[in-house]
Amino acid sequence: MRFPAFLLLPILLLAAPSCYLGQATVDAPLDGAAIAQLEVGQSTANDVTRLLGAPNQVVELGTGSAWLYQAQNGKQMGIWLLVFGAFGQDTRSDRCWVFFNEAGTLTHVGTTLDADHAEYHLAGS
Amino acid sequence: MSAFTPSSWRRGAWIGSLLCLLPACAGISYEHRRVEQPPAERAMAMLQVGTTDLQSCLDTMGAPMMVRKDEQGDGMELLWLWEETSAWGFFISIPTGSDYSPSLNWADRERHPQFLRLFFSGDGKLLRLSRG
Repeated sequence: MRFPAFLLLPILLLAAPSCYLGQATVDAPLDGAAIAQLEVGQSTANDVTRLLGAPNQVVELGTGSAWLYQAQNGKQMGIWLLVFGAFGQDTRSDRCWVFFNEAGTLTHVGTTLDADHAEYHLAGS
Repeated sequence: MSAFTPSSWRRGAWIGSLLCLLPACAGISYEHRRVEQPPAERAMAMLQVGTTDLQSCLDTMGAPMMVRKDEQGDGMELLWLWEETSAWGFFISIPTGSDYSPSLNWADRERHPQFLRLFFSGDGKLLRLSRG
C-alpha cells in the first residue's frame, strides 16, 4: 500500500498550526537627510528642533547638554511544529545624539541609522 | 513488500493523533534574540586613550545608547549596549477543567548584555574605556 499523496497537504497544514511574523516600532524612523543638514559650530538648538523636532531625551552635562533622537524597530518570527517551537527576535534602532555647548551651539553629532536592518530570523541566522 | 502495511498505518495514526493532541499540553522551544548590534571591531580597535576625541569616536562608532555626565569629573560617559541570546526550553501544562491548571515552564535563558563604556574629559578627549 502506497502513501496517498493527497494526504500530504493536510498533514503539512496540521504540522504548522501556528506561525507568525510580527513587527513593533517605537517612534518614526529618523530622517537622515535632515540630520545631514546639521552643521557643527553653526547650527543652534533651535535649528535642531526645527529639523528634527522634540528630542526623546535631554541630558545635562557639565558645560552643555546632549539630546537624543531615537526610533526602534523590532521584528519577531515564530513557528510551531506539533511539539517544537522556534522563535526569533531582532531589535535595532536609529539614534542621533546632538551635543551643545553652553551657548546652545551644536558641537558634536553622532548618528546610527540601523532600524531598517532589523531582520526576521529563527535561530542565529 | 510495501512500507505501509495496515499495522504500520494504525501505529502511525496513533502516534499522529497523540502528537496532534500534545501541543496544548507539552512542547519544546528554541528562541534566539538579538538586541542592537555591537560596534565594529575595527572601530573599537581605533580608540586610543588620550588621543581619540569625541567627534572622531562618534564618526567611527556611531551613536551610543546612553550619554550621561561623568560623576567623577566635568566630562561625560558614553555607553553602547548589545545582546545576543539563545535559549532552549520546555513547557508542560495539565488541563484539569477547573479554574486552576498546573503548568511548568522552563528555559535556560541567561541574559549577558555586552557593553562598551567610554569616558571623555570636558574638552572631549578619551580618558578611559571599559568593555564587558
